[in-house]
Amino acid sequence: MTDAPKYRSYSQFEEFLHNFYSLSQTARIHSDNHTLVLEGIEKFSESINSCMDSDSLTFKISNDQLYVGDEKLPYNRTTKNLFDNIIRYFDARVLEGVRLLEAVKQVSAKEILAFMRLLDMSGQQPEPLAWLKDGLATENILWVELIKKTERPQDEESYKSKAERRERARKDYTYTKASVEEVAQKIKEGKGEVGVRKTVRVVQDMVTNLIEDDEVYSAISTLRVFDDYTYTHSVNVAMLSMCIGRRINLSRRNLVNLGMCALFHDLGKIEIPNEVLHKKNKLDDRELQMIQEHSLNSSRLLLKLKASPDSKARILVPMFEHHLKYDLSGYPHADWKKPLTLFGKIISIADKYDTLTSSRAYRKSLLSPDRALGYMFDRAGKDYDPVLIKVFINIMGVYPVGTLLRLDNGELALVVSSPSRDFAKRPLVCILEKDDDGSYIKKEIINLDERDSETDSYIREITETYHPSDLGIQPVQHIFSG
Amino acid sequence: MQKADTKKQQEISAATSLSDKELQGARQVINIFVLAWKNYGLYPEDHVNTKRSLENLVTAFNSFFTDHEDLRLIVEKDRLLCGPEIIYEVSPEAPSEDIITLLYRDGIKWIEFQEGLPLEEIAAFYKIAYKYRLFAEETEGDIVTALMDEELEYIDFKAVDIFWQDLMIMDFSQLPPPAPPPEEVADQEEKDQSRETEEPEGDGIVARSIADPSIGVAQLELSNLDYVTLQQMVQEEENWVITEDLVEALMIIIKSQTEQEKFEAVLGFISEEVVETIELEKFDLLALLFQSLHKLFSPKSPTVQDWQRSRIDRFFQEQSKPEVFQLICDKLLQLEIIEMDKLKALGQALIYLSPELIHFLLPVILQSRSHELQKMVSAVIVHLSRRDIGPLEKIAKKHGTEMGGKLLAILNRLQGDRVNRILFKMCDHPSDTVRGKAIKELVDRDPKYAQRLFSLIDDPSKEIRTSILAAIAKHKSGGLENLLLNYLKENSAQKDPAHILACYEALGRCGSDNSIPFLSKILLSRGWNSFMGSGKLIFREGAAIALALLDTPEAKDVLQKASKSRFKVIRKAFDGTKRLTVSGDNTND
Repeated sequence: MTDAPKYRSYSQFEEFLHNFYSLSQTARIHSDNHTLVLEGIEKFSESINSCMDSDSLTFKISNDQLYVGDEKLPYNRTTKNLFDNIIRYFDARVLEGVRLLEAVKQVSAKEILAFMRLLDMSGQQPEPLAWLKDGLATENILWVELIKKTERPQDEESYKSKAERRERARKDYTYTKASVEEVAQKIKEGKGEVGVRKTVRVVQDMVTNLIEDDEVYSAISTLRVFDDYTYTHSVNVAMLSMCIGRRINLSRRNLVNLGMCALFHDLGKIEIPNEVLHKKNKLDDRELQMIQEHSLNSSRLLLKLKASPDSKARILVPMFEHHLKYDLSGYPHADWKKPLTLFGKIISIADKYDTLTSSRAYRKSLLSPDRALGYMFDRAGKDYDPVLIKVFINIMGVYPVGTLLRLDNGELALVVSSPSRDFAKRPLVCILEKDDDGSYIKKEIINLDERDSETDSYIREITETYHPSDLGIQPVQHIFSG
Repeated sequence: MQKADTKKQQEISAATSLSDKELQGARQVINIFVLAWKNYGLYPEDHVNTKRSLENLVTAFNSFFTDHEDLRLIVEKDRLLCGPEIIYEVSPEAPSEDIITLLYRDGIKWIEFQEGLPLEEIAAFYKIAYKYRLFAEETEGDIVTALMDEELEYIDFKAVDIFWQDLMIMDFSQLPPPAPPPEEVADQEEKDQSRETEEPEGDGIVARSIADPSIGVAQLELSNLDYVTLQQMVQEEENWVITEDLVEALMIIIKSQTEQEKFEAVLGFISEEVVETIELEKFDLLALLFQSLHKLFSPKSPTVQDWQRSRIDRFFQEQSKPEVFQLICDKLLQLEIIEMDKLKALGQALIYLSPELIHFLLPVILQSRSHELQKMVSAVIVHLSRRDIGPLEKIAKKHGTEMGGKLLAILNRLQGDRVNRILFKMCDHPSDTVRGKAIKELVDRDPKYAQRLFSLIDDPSKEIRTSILAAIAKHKSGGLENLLLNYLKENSAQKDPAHILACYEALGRCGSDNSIPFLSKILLSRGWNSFMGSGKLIFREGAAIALALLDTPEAKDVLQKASKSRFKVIRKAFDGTKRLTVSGDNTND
């Protein structure tokens, strides 16, 4: 369950990729003894040493995403160009990736340069990969393994690994929800201090898995169970919050804190009768007060958890704040003049997004995920932190996973993957077809980025978006199947 | 060699072949590992035996790493395996806190000690295992969660699900379709308004898609400034310690609790935070916490219920535990290298605690050499003693001797009969300096006290005699005048002439014309006693000085007569008064 990887900042990997790509370009232009080339080799070697902590270092492209080791590197403004360039560079060489073996640490600058030149020149060959392999053999370069690009979007290994990650996410979802329910139940029963080790453990595992692949967690957070809203909502908010936390490089420990905080953010709702929580009609003053006190009560109930004072102190304020807006309006209506904490701001975004895209007894229509994001974006700076909202949109893409699309050919499509590039304006979707019994079945997966080879225009366009619940579709059923 | 018999181990066996040397090395390390654990349980963490056994263990690991790679151990019930070989078995007589049993209990499947393992990490590992050695149903964590949290660099491990083995993993294909929005919801508009603060965007809202062409990609991209902002936010969060926000949130939470049980829960947490803030030396927050609570539940606050107020009073009493006090005092002494802001903040916090704290604070004054610290602690003691002088009374009774001057400095800043009683006791202090100061303070408080202390005029210590006379001389007092007159009448012949002279001087300062007959007689008499030797000259001189200090017309008449006397001895006594004029000392001050 737990592999306890060492946490490493993205920047280290980014630097490695930057040094790799720079050297490839410098070596193309300059001679062997040029200062820039020599400096480039030195920097590349240094970054190999700092990134390689096992017997090899792999960097590869999978599903349009760059991975170093098992970690997916996020697209952002500063890395976008670099990543795009590397993807193109590898594409041109029919390479999915490169594995550097430990021996690379001992090789001379000359050997590194020889490899870089071969790699670069292979791009001009009719059979790049075969040519490169021959070249490496001739030069006796044994410290590099080439990972061939496969015809399918995902090769067997990455497919398996994706399936494994989905399976782990499914387990995490199940365990997390069960642990929150258990804690809430014990508190309801008034059992004194309630232990949280199960929850801590599952959140720690989730962090481990999320560091490897956060997309699967944003995807699984599309799960909606109307009758089980409180708990699924808590898990969804926790997962989305941790995705944001991961993206902004929170430490592992703080990701756990954030996850715990988000998981229990609505704990106070256990004191509200169900008939009030699910009331379709107007709430009376007393009922409204109960609703509005829940964030405050969550903070109070948190104190019943058996955790260190430090941990509790760490997550109390964000729980208290999660219905306070960026401009400090909202509730609890208290004399609160402090700017919201980072956790508070993150949780309020994740909470609102999940709420906006969830069916509630008192709401007649739902916002599709892209409209929910639009709604929140328009309130950035007033209701939400403007920078964090952008981070959130960067994670989700403009068509978040789970968005239902109507395509210009009349097909119905569900977003199954939302690559970070260009805000996923053209995501990966699966076509859904109505079955005889009225349910929808999953058909092929297509990339909306695909262009007509003759006209160079996109093959399919999006004409409309829906919330999947509008058509009774449970996105995870399709995203996590097959 | 023993081999594991499980299928899993057979697989491992196939993959891993270990040399005898490696197994022998692993066994040696594990024996030391287990022994170190036993020592860890027997001795305190900082005990020399604990330290030594951990050092031995690190040496054993280093020796192992010289010839072999990282040491990965598979944890099974009651045994450890290295590759396919069993290298350690828990004895049936071993206690349940055996280290291998604990690792297995918490779900550790394998644990790996890596080359470079430092002493700090192995100590941290043992500390964690020791903390969670006892099984508890409701606990904050276990060995696995704590190891994950600690992120040890040279100790890796894998844990398995031990909590959820019977739980059915959610089958997404079996999920019910999500509920579509309800068809009919009465008074939709009105209802949404009622949830205004929760879901203002419930129904009928128009929201543009984030993909809308009116929103440019540039608006969504994170700018360089955004990255800097994010970095700052993250940095602040990573460096987070208890903040004012927490205190303020706690105040809002506790203020809203109208049920005793809930109120109690919040207060319980605040108590924990008190200790935490002291440990972290966040004295500004401690002060804020106490001040806020005090203010929030002040008797002046009309919304506060009686039970809340009395509970808060009790809260402050409860903080007055010896362990809390000791912690405070330890911190205080560490503040010798003065951090003025911290010191000031701590002072502001301590005044809310029980006066029992004084028992701990007074020794701090004695131990500390810092003037600023002494000043702050004294101020706190004064503040606390104003609420209850009891602790100070007890200290004065038990430790008045060693406390001496420090105690007196504090008493001087306090008022009341009970304080005065302590001051009277201080007049019996072994130190003459302390006694002298106590006398002065008492008489300053009330001149009448000089009469109670009059007997000290015959104290063996010259310093005390001087002190009491100085005290007597401070104020005009008929009572003291009579006492002094009687004293001089009865004792002049037996006492030290210099002392008697001082008594006359004191009489001159505290007396009145009532003394003139006596003084006139001593100064001007020519009877048989005028031939009693040189000692008598000093009495005449004393009387002359007393008259000069009285400085009344009647006194001046007598002195006039003395100046014109036919007797040299009388004139000479009068001449003694001239030095008063020369020095200008003719006032009571």
